[in-house]
Amino acid sequence: MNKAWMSCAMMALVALLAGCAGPKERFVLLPQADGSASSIVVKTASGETALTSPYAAVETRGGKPEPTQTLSAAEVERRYAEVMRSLPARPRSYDLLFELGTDRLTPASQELLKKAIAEIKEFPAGEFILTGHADAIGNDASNDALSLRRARLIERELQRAEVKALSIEVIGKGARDPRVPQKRGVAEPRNRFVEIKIR
Amino acid sequence: MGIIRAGNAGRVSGWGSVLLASAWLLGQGSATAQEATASQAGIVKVLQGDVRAERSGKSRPLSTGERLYAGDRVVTAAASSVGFTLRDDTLISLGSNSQFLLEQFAYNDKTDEGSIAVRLSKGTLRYVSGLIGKRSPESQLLSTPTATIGIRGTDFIVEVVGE
Repeated sequence: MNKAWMSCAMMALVALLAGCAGPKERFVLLPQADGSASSIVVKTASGETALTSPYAAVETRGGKPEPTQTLSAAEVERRYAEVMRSLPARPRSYDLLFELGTDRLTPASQELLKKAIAEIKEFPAGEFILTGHADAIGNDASNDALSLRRARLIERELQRAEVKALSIEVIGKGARDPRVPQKRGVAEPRNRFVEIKIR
Repeated sequence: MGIIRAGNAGRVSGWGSVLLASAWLLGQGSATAQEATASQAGIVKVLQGDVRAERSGKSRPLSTGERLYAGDRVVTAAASSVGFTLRDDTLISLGSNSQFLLEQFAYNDKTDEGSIAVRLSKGTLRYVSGLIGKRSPESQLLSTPTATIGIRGTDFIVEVVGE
């Protein structure tokens, strides 16, 4: 009790000497990469402040919010250059389509694979997840094997192109997780694919 | 407050929360191995200078490719910064002289369900929501010494200038 009072008094004294009322904090809403709307709500002991437009910012002192302002993009880039620069690359994914019953890419997907490799070759500390799929023709065992073979082919292509990866996980999902749900026995070209997910 | 949501009893700060978070994790799984896989939260992707992670009283230097776990405190020195990606694609970067705690992270990659609680005690942070935020924004919580932030699918910066 006595000790708590002492530390309270000490903190008050420090605050008094520093001429401010507790920590100063700033909150800045950034625009969404896809331009969509977003918001944050800053809650302190003295109330809530909503930031709802790009570069809206609020400063609090000891939990007391000051009026909301809008910063310029240039100012944010300059003041927060470190966190802007060190943000990891955004995760992304590609769907590569295959010919019926084979581990051969369609011509369009061969092109897409080249483009994907160029884009992800230097992805920093990239974790790759390659998930193969098959459409619902044939039995489960052969679809499982086929989907895994498709994913392995992509793995080999990535290795051949010397794509730098921290890890590569290869999964065959057979016909169990289709992109386009379809009745058993019905051909669906869009479900013959490998998803490259990179994080 | 994030800790209350995570199912624990009270609000703590500083070292207390590191210990509490680890105790909570140990309570979850019977084996240590299970704990390690269950709580692996992310990977360091970008790093400059001197950045350390502290967990259960042990400190280790971080480098690119290194794993982060729920309960880790990340500390950056002067002229140092770090960026890491959590398993649900949430992106976080920290500027120099920062103190950050990954209080809680749980994520199911089949359903995208999970929860995130992080705390910035000092320095600068940028946060870009991932799949947990997309599915249930209210499952993300960020706290600072005097505020908590309700996140609604977002990219934002927080700066804690000092005490």
